[in-house]
Amino acid sequence: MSWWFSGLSSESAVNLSESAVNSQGSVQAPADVPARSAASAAAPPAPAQAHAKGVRLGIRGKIAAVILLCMVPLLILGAVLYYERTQERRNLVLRTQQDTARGLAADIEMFMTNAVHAERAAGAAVLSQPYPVDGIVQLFAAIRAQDPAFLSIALVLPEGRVEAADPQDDRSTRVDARPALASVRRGEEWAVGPPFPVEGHPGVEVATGIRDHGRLLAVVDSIVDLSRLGTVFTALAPGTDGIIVDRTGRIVLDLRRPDRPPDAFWQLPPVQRALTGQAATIDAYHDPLTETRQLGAAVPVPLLGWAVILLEPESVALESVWQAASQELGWILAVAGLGLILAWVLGGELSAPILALARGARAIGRGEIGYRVSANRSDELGELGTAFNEMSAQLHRYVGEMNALQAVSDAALSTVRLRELLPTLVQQIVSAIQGDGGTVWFADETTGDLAPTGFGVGSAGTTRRLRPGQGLAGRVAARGRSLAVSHPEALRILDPDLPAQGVHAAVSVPLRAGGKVIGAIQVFSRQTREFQPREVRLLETFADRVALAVDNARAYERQQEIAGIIQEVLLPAPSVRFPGLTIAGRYRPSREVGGDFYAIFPLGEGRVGLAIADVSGKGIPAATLSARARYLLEAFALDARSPGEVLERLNTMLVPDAEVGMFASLFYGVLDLTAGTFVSANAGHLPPFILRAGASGPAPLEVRGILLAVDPDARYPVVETRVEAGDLLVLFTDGITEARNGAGEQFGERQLAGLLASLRHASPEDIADRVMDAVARWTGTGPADDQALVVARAQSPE
Amino acid sequence: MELQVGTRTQDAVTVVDVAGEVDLYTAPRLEEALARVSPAGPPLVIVNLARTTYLDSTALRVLTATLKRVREQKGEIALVITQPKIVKLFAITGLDQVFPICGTEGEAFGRVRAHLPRRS
Repeated sequence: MSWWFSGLSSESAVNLSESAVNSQGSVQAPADVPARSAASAAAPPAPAQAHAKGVRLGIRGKIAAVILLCMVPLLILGAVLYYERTQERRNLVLRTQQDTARGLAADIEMFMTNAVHAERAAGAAVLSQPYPVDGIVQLFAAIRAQDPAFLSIALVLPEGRVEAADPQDDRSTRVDARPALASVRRGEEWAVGPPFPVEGHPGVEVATGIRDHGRLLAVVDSIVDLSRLGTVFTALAPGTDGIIVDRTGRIVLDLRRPDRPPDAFWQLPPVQRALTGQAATIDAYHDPLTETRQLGAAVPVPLLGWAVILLEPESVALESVWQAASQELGWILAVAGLGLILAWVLGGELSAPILALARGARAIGRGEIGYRVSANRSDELGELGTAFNEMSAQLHRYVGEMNALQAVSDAALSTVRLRELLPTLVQQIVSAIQGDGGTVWFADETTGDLAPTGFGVGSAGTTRRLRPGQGLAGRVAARGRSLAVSHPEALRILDPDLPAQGVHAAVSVPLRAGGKVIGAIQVFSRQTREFQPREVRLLETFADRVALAVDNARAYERQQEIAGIIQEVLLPAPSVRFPGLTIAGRYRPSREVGGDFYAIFPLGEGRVGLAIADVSGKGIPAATLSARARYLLEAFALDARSPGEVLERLNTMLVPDAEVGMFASLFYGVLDLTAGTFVSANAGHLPPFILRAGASGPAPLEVRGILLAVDPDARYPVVETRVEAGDLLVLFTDGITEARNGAGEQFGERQLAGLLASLRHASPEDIADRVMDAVARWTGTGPADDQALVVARAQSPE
Repeated sequence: MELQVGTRTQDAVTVVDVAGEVDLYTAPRLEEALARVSPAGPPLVIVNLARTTYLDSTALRVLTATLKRVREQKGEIALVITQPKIVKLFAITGLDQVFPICGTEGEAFGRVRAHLPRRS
């Protein structure tokens, strides 16, 4: 029995581990469709239902479901084995009980056999000699004293009379209702009668015939105490009951429950079977006395035709069975739990890198180009991660290259900022082709030497001036062809300075503009590496755009230079003195020279002409138009009397310029210091401020007229205003009032008016400086538009 | 504020909506939008500056150039101006004397359409 158990358990252990391996195998090859469909056919299709309801199962959940499905047959097998083993244990218990009951039966037979032997010996003894009755009684008393199982002994003569008895009372002497005695007298050798309780003892009558050559001489009839049965009965476990029933089913002895009704087991089938001579188990007997279910056995006592019943409460009898069973159940559940944990861990192991890849894909989608996932796995997922990282790195490189090219294209449009942008651009192209540094040289226009521009990144080779053909860059510039040197030895021959500075590989391309080489770009690497043709082409494309941008910038600079010269030549001195008049003029050009100007010129007879203008556009066209306007203005001013007339003539001259879409705003006034008048006309310019000596703030000098060069038939009305000593005239262009701060707010006429009011007692020089300072502080950076300002004050005659 | 230029055509009149600031850097976009107005017949153009917050001299140049071109092609242009700053700008520069200036788009439609039958 025990090898069967151990064999079974080792077999089930093998099954468990095998199915665990199988489930892992099917998980690692999820494309194994037949295996999966077989599994789902064998078990309730829980995952499919979950899908139908729209529940999303992650990889982890799916693996757990698959392992669970694989475990279903295992669990069924476990349940069957568990059930069988429990039954087996139960049967074992029942069999053990039967064995015990047999022991009891043997005990009883031996007890009875002993009693019959004792009776026969006693009978033979008293009949061998003619003992007096007293003697017989004494012998019986001695026997009883020696064996307390004998409750009474009587010697009965064949005709039924009691010859002698001990004790001398009814139980010994009354023999009329003694079935055993009757049986012996009828010829039986010995017989046992029905229960014969004596003073609470479970007595039973045993009669033995004493014969001589078949003739019945006497019968020894005694009552024996069944409670004196041997050790088997007394050694029964505390909860176990041993019961003896006679051939009619009546209880002869009930060891633990003497109060049980005598016919309690009369109709119990196992007991009936035992009385016919076959042992039987008592399964689930409901004991009405204790209200418990009991198990046991009924076995025959063949010698007597009786039966022995053994009963034990089920809870006690099967306790060990349940303990063993629950232990096994625990093992089964532990294995199932282990499977689930395995599934969870395995699922996490598989899904974590997939989720990481999903995060990576999203990150790239958001624009985090170059995002990397950890790929330290040796399986296919690790390969996927490595591929992802490679893709990300490639993407990063391509985007870097595109950005570098785009940036230089943008910079080429904004020529003004090229010098600021170039170092960043070089940095971008260096990282796009994964170099360690780069240098830009521009060719000197007269000598052809390559001069380093300072736009390089990384220290190597940035400070050297190269003669034509000297070094790698000089060679490239001289021949006008790109050159990539990947071998340190070759590099040592071509440009010995570079290896000395730790450079192992370098590529150089010419900067070409208008068919001329204007410089070279060189990118170097501190590691031995080969520059791919693709990278050289990228650098060439970059160089072409840089060259274009540099060429544009140079052309623009030249233009600016010329425009600046024109402008400076035109401007009057910043400080002009006339008798009775102090004037300060300021002009601050924007980076791109515009067309603002002012003019102050004497007209004789104590009259002074004051003008301020803003010509639309920038650069040389604006500068030349403003020069023309200024000279024409002065010429007409000397000629004509009225400012309106001057502007009309000027407009007529300038209208043809409107062909190129230009116009100018111009304010012109004539200050007559002797008459104390200011006569002015305005061609679309911001009205000047007049701050009278007695007033609290400035007022605009309102006179309207259209911009110059727009309408050939334009007429300009004039206005005449009184100018007293101490009165202040302030003329300005929109570069002052429309100057913007960082937040985009304009300086504004109101702020200018407030500032002028606070400066009313200052000299024109001071006022001009303070206004220009305030505007410069407002913008923070340089002016976006030209700024021109004229401040004039009439003085009291001395 | 960023410049937004939109063009729509309504009953043979091209309306150019200009929202935001027109300066040296954004004026080319207004210029481009106005240059695209080239109908078979005399061009009728309304430039709606109701949502324009700033115009600089470059913008004025674009408008005067367009005025010149439209008038040469026997068309008409009208401006819708409601912002006080822009009204003042046109007053100072005197351009309100050469451009038909209207307070509403409806009025502007009236001005450019009135021009049409007289010509045809």
